[in-house]
Amino acid sequence: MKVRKRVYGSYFRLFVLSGLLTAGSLPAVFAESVELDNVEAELVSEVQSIRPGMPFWAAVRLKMHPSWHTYWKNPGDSGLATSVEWTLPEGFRAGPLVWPYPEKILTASLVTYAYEHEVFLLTEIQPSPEIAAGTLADLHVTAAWLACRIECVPGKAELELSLPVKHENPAADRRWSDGFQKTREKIPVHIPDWTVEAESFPAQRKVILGLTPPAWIAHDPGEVYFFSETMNFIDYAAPQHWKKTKEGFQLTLSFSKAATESPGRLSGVLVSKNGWRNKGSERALEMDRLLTVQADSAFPGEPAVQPMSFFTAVIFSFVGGLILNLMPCVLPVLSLKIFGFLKQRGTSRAKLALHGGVFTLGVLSSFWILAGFIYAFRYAGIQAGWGFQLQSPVMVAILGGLFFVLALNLFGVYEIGMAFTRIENPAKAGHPWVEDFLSGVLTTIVATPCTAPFMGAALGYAVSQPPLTGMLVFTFLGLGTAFPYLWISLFPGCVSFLPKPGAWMIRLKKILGILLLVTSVWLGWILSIQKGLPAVAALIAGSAVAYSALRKIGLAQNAGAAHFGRHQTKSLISSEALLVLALVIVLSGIRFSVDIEESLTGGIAQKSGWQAYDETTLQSLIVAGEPVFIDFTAAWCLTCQVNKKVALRSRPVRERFQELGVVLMKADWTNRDDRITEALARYGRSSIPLYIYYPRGKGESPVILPEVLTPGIVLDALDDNS
Amino acid sequence: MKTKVTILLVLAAFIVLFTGTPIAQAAEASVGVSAPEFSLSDINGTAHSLAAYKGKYVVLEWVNHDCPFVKKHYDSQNMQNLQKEYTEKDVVWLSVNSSAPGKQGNFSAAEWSKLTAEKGASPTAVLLDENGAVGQAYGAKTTPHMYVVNPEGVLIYQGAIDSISSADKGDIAAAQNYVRSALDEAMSGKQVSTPSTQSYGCSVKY
Repeated sequence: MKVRKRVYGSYFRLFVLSGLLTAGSLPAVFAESVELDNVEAELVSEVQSIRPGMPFWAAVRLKMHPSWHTYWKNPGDSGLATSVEWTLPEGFRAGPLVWPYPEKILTASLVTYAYEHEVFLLTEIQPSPEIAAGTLADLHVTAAWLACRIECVPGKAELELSLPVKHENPAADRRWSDGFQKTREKIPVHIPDWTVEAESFPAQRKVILGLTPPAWIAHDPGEVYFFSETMNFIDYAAPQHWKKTKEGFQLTLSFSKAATESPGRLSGVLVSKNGWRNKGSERALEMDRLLTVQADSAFPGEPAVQPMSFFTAVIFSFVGGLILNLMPCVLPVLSLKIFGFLKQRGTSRAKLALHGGVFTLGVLSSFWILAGFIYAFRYAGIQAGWGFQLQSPVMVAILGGLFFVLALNLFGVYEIGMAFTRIENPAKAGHPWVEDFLSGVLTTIVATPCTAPFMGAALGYAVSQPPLTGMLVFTFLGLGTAFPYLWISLFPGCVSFLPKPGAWMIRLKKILGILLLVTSVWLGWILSIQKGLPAVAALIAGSAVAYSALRKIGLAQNAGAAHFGRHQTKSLISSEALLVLALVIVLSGIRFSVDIEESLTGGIAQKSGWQAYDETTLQSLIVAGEPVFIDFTAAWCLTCQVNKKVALRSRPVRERFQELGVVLMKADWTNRDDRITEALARYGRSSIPLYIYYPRGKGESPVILPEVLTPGIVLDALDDNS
Repeated sequence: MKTKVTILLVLAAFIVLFTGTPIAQAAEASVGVSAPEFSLSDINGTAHSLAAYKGKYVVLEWVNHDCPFVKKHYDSQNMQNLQKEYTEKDVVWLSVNSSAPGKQGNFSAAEWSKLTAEKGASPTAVLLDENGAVGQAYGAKTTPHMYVVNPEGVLIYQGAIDSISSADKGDIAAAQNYVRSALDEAMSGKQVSTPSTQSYGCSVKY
């Protein structure tokens, strides 16, 4: 160990020193650096001599070998703060250790706050006014540190420095001027003009720092990072979100997993990219604030975009709901509804309006139930958003079966309609209101795999709001969805251009049936990604059984009311049993099939040049100024699939991506993934598709692309921001 | 009839969707709630799950014998003494190693047996978590990083082994041992006074 050698060395030095003293010449400074395995340590002073009673700065200088680092006062996820203990001549006082802000070092998933290359840990020394000039003052320090690369090696050294005491003002020690200067630039300062407020939101497990500049500072401090000195509270590895607000700026931090409750105060260092006063000014701002705990409802959310107003959200949700009707999953069901309507032309207007009203009520109730579940899940801490039910393979299978059954109807295998209800029980003439209500529910259910333009932003707004406000947004979404049918039922005249029911309707029904069948196949494909082929086999088997059951029912229907008797009733009961069996087959198939989702999606992502979304990778890319394009997608999101095919994977777009060197990230939400749900929330969304483009060097201002893409839209977005 | 079919399908969809689907909640360790369940093989190939130890206190110790902080507590016999003392009090002590293959502190089962014997360690078992899944679920960041689970399966302590963050054996005597405090307080029916601290040590080599 070199330390021990150095200790002997110090005796030797004293000996030499006394020799020199007798020789009458006084050397300026005595110090010796200590070199351990990977760190060179030395006690240095900013000045060459001491003037009695006049404070000066000294520092423990640690020089790390390449790739080694030592730690800041809060080492972060692992490591150990360097400790410095002074032993000084009588009457001398050492001030507190002053730390320059550290670097954020990422290893695996852990973040540490440390120094690489070289660090000066400063202390102000107040010499005794009584010390006699012409003597030597011996400063002594015990420094202990932990140096890590991958492995860690603790180090400890006794460091000494002897400075001559002189009456004149001390001269700077040029050797270290640079080091002291550079260190000072990194020392956090207190800038009273900036107002900093710290608020804790235990329900969201977030902390929001609000920073307001004085009126006379118009300068943008750029991206800001918070180094927490408060231990065991902030998640060091979690991304921090910096954004502009009306009054100033806001930095959102996350609680660490281990944090139990908010500490009373939060202290640390806020480091800005551009300086706090103007370009090139102090970059590190000292912070020590009371941490006020805020209620759940006060949480402002953390969208990277300006939050939309309630009014806009309502308009957007209504328009989104309206467009939803044109999506391939809803269109056939809506058409069915309109066909049913055409058959009823001639019924009294009041009755028709009532049909429309009950249908609307059905749509609204199911939207409310859906919203209720979303809020309940979120309240329970489970991430959920629009389409979340499709992350459940069981729901995908049920919908797949449902679309198949509906398609069979359109193909004329069996008949849905009031006529049949009357056949079964002519006396009762059915419950048309129940039917209307249920078709409203059905419309909502089949709508869930689709997202229409405008919907994303509105839903993102809805889930970030307290439930009551959010429910209103969902209500308007439902109203938008129900609107076309409601309109027709209120003003039947508007469809008078349609011909009377006839052969054209049967043909159109078949085309729409194909649309449904395709949707069903697509849901089967999702299921194959989620649960593998056995689940799909179960779905097909279940569909086959359902087919034979419905075929039987259809035959009974064809037999007509006149021949309807005991025999048919019996066969209908067994058909119902068969339908239940079909359901059982599908569900049990899914329960017992293996989960192979990871190996599958991982492989696909690799091959196509799109890498899987990862928060830490994204952050480091943004910091490095790399352009990044993120595709928030899922197999069950039909709009996403179309966008991928039409725009993202089109040749010109792919080529432009390559030219610009854009890093492509795919955030796959096919299965539940809280990290992706959280990422969506940061862009103010709770649904997909969502496309984010971080232009080169503009990490703080991502571009959000529309929900429906064309190659032109993507190319424009890439070019406008490059 | 049509109404019935629709009712059937709609009801089934809603029921299965909202009740039958096991929504996998991301298992995360936080003090005061159930500790994440796991099942890991020990160095003798025996599987250990947290559920199997319901009814007993369980201590989880993240270990890596190449880490100076682990050495601090093993060379001083501090860790072995704790293991001995509490396993005698019917506490289950599981030492977990999350070093990925090829990374520091990753050893074969045979090497582990040898190391454990050499150190005179007496945990209930040494568990190997090569893919780091259990470490990540618990949020284990350092070696050592300690967790205490009560007989109901609730995490009652997470964090550092003691109150003085250093690599110096000399500091052990003066430090408050948080694992000891948590176990003693919980066993005597008291609230754990320090349920969460920031652990110190080398990073877990995931």
